[in-house]
Amino acid sequence: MNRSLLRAAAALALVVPLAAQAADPARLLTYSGVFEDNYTDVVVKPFQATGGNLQFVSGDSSATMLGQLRTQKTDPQLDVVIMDTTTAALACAEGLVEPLTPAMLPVLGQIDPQARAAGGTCGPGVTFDHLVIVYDAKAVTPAPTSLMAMWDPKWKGRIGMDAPPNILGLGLTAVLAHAATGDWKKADPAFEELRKLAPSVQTFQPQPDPYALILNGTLTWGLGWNARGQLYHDRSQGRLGVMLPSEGTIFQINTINLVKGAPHRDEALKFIAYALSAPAQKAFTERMFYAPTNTTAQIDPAAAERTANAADNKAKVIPIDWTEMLKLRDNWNQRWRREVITAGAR
Amino acid sequence: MADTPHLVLEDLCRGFGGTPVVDRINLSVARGKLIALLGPSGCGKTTTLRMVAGLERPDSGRVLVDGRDVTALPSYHRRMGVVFQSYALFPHMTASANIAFGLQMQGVGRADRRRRVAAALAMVGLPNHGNAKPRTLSGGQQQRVALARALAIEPDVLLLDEPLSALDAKLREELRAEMRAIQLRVGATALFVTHDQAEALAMADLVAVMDHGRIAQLGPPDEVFEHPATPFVARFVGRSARFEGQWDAEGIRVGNMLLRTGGAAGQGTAQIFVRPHHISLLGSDTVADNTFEGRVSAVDYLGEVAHVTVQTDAGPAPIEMSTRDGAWRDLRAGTQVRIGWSADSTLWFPA
Amino acid sequence: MRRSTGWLLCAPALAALAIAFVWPMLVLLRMSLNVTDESGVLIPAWSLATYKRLIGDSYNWGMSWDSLVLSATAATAAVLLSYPMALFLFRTHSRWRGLLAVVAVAPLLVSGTARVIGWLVILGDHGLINAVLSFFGLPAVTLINNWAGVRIGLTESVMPYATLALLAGFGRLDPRLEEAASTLGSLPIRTFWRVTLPLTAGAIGAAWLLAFVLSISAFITPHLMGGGRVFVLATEIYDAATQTLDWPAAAALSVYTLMLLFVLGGAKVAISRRSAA
Repeated sequence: MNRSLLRAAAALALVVPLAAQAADPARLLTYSGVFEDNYTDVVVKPFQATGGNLQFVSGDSSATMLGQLRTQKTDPQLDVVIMDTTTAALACAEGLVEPLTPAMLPVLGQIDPQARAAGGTCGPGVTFDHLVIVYDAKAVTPAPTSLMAMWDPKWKGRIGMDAPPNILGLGLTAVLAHAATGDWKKADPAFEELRKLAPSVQTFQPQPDPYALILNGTLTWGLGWNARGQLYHDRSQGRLGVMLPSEGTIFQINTINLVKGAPHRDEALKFIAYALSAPAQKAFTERMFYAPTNTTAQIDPAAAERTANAADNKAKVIPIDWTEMLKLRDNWNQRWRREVITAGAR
Repeated sequence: MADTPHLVLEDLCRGFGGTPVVDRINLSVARGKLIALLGPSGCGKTTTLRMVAGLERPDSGRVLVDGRDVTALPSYHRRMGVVFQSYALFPHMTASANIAFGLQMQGVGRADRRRRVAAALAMVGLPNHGNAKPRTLSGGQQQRVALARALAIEPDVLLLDEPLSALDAKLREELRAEMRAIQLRVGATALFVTHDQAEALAMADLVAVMDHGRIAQLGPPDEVFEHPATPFVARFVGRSARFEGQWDAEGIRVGNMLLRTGGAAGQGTAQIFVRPHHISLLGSDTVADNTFEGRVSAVDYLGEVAHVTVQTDAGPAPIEMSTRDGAWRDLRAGTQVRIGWSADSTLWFPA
Repeated sequence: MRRSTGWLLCAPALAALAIAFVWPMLVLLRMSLNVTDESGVLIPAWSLATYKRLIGDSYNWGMSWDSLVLSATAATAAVLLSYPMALFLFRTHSRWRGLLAVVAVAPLLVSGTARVIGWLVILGDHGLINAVLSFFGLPAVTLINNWAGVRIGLTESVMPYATLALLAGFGRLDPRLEEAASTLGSLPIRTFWRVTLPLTAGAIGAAWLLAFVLSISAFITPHLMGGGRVFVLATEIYDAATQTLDWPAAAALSVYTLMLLFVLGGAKVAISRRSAA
């Protein structure tokens, strides 16, 4: 009923230009695949049910989303974008997205300080995720608790390791560095460990992703993100194991941003407020195990247990300053290539 | 020695997809002789040559050179000098290199090779063209280089596959005389494939007329021309006036005319052939064994001779007359004439 | 008059070329003059800083060299493997010729990704080849996620193009020439070296160049079969464009690759001019 009304309105919009503003939906750009499926179900659709007018646009990676923003700089077609904080920082610095203030967005007051900080002056974090080790639970028993389990020579040729510039590779380096020196930026000991692991690595670029390669038996170990790991864990009836290593982990934060010059600015702000609200955050966390950034969201304990927000997990998160990380990235990237990948030649 | 033929083809057969293309060819060629395989396209003459060259395998039959069976030998062990229709000169080599190629394959030393290449070039009248690439040479020059290349290896047998067909008429006549002279000088036994009867008659010691994969007639050029063994040969070699008639006791009746023939009489239907140079225009009081009335339908002036076509009741008759006395000038289309020829020059075949 | 008609007839093609090639190239050139600051922010500029940075890094020279060697290897292998096949296709009178030609170029009809997945099944650590080796008690070989895998995959992916280029170039090869050589006493192997090979040298050159150009610009194969161990110009450009978001660097590397190809193309033209003269 509602939909046919919308359609009628859309048809009318073609005839009456003034009505177009009202009927044309705001556009949200973010990850396709499982993210799109679940986010549409538990966040976008309920928003539409409250009268919100929003269309989902599938993006590939944060990088390609930034590419879209850059090419549309003079004529934006998008309104809201959810992307990785490191990429969003560039968008913010390049003036592609707008600064957001509590005056514009009262819900900011409920947002976790770390999520606020992740966005700088621009959009705040909307999901927390963290780096995990994913493994074949059939092959690795008992369930491992430390990263070092992968260093066992019996896993030679069974490890997939997304090397930098992928954030997973940078994150692992930081975790190893932190474990060895207490400072995630002092990476020499981390590289020493990685060189020892390198000969066991089958691929430094698991394609299409480590979850699939573990589930089809090509790999036993890989680096992954908790939310997806948990999702595939459930889908595979536990075949895919997810470990938060005792050495620690790092956050991956997606921030939600208002595109500068957004053609549907008001609707976009409405959606951002909704996406950051406790009900939306609760629904998405319980569906896909991204930890909420709204501190007032009341998460079902069974789901909360499996997110970064669980007390045990939170204690293991190493605070990373991504601006610092981006400065180190080139150097680490080169060191991976020259020291780690060469040591893992095959 | 004179009794052993140099090149012998024995019951040679070859078919493609069930159709016989060469059907039991038997030939024997004496040393130093040039034999022409003459026939229309598709008669199997080129396939025969390719089997002699070793480029194609016969289905059955043998090829012998000096009494030795070479049927199983691949072409590169046969020592046959082949001149191809398209010449097949190596485009990336100079004329000298083309000629030297075969010598190199035989392991002839550098100095000796150079000498023999120069001799071959001189023999074909191109002493100064050794460094030219084939595509900078004219058609006639390419043909000469191809001949020099084939002869330089001092082949057992020289095989010429329509070597003149790509040249214009005047050059063709010049070159055929030249080729014949060279062949006689080096004393090569040669097999020459052509569809041009003038070429075959002018150059060959023996002509084998081929029809549908078989030899229709084998003999010296004049015999083939004057005494064709079959109607096919009579039709294919040279031009003729052609009539059809019925034998009776006196001769062959063609309409209400009677034709007399030399030799034995026959019976039933007969095909009659008369060569144009045997037919004369008769004055009103001249007699001949056989005479027809008719009207001139065409006069083609060719220089030394004129070709006159006379339409008779029995069909058209081509006549060849000398232009020396100027009598041809009196003939116009429609002129009423009487033509005649001797009984001896009246060829006939039972139909 | 004639001239202007000729130009007019060419106009649509020239316009298409301008839109599809020249304009993007200019955009690329412009992008390469911008700069990326140390935190990754793209700053509009007219600067050669990006070029200076790339040229100054010895790593890029090694990577560029690896790209050239890989492409040359794949092109050479592809031509060596396609040559006998193309020669057979060119000569055969079999009625299967058309079908065989289609089979030879059929890989072009399959997406690059699908072909790579096929290779993973064959070359994988537990793939077909290693299954056969282990059946005969032989040690396993590593043919995937390394340079060897990329060499194999790349060779296969450019082979159909090499085959087509060879077939197109065999026009000069008249079978009578090989027969002539044979009647002059040349054994088949010598005929091949002295006649067939020189006459097809132009086709080989053209096919090699095409295979090389396609190899150096190939991205999917090194990306999917290299296991993150193979760094070549195409993967570097991809990483700069989509991972580190250093667009000026991606553009500058593309311009560099393009220059390499122009130099090669020019060399080929010069060589064929000289051999034709």
